[in-house]
Amino acid sequence: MIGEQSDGPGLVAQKAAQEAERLVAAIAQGDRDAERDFVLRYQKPVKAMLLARTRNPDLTADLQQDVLFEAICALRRGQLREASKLSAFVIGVARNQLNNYYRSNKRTETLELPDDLPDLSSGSERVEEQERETLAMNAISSLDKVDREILQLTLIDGLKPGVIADRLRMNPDVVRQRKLRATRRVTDFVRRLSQTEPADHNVVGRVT
Amino acid sequence: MTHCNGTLADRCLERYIQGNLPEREAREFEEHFFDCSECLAQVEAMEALTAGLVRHPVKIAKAPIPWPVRGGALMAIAAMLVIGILSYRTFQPKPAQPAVAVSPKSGPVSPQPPSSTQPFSPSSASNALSQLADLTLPVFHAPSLRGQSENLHFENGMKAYSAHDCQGAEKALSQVPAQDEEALASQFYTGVCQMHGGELAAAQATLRKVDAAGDSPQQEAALYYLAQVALARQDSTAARHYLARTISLHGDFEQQARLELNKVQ
Repeated sequence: MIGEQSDGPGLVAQKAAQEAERLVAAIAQGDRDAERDFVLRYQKPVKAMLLARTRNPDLTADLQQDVLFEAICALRRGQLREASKLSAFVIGVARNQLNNYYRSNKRTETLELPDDLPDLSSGSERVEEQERETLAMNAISSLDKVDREILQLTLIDGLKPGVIADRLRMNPDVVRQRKLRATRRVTDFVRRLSQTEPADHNVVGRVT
Repeated sequence: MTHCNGTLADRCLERYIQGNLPEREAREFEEHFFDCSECLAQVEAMEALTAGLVRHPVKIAKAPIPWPVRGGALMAIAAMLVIGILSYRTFQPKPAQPAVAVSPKSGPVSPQPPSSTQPFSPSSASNALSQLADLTLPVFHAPSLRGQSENLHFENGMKAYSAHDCQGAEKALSQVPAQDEEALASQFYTGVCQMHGGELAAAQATLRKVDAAGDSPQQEAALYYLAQVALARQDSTAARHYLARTISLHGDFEQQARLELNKVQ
């Protein structure tokens, strides 16, 4: 993957499309290892998306399982025509699951699941998540008190910098600046320490 | 797996996590981070930050009372005290005059001793400026949790730095690629090593690059040390400029920068 750092964007995208095509073809042929690879490839982005959309970790865990199972079942049946659009397909399945949940306010039970689906109950993902949260708390506690307050008022209370500035009797520009800086400090810290494998993409002109 | 420059995450991440991003842009961002491990890591980090704040909320302190209100209240208290004292003195029975007259004050007031402060010649002002400069190496806190820096050159550089081996640190840090995550941190520590070694012009140039990169975890420290370099170079204008900018960021160096700015002024 590190080698991809020097690849051009076209080559990187081409490799990604080839990998997607391999997964789709292999799952359609009943390859269980490919199903496990598929789960490893998509469980994190699916979870991140569902958590951002639902803000409910328990519901996210349930829906994540449903999404991955439903996607695997569909791939086994060969329902994806354009294999290179595997990511878009998984996102579509996730949106359907979410929409169904919000329409009926309960998880869909219509899916007939086969018995031989891969085991998704690995605890490592949960451990990673807890570790990230601990890192985030460590990073937050290392911030200046006012920065912590600004993060709380922004991310949890959903207040705009102007309102926060008024409440903390500060200049709105200072609030904006401090919010940006504090957010970056924490996310960079968490990202840097929680990444277990190198990023598999090229970073162009990005300063962190 | 995409060729990402991070601009989409910069634009969308916070609003996406807060649920304020318009649906079309949210979909676009999702399609991106599903194939971009770097942006996915940013989403996960932001979700961890939000979860951390939900579980352990920060207590919001009451805002300080603004000066006009506080000043008014203090004035009212002072006025009441003055009125109280005056009333007490007005109604207090006067003591009987002593039988013996009080002698006048003995002797004239002694003159003030001559001021010990030397007049400020330009050269002594410059020396005073350079003595203000803090050219000691800032402490580097290596991450103690899982996952050291992925860049071996950075890690070796910071090991040398922590052992006060500035030459070794500069040599290793110079090999950190420009596009690496630690590139800016490498520049910063190279700059302070140069400063510590007395290469003030080089330190100034290096630290300016860190500042020019814009908002970053190293920007405030870079500004503070640019001020130190300016002090060491006896350039009071530049020192004041960088100290004022350090203060404007309201970070860890604010108090120290304020103290120094007062002295420089």
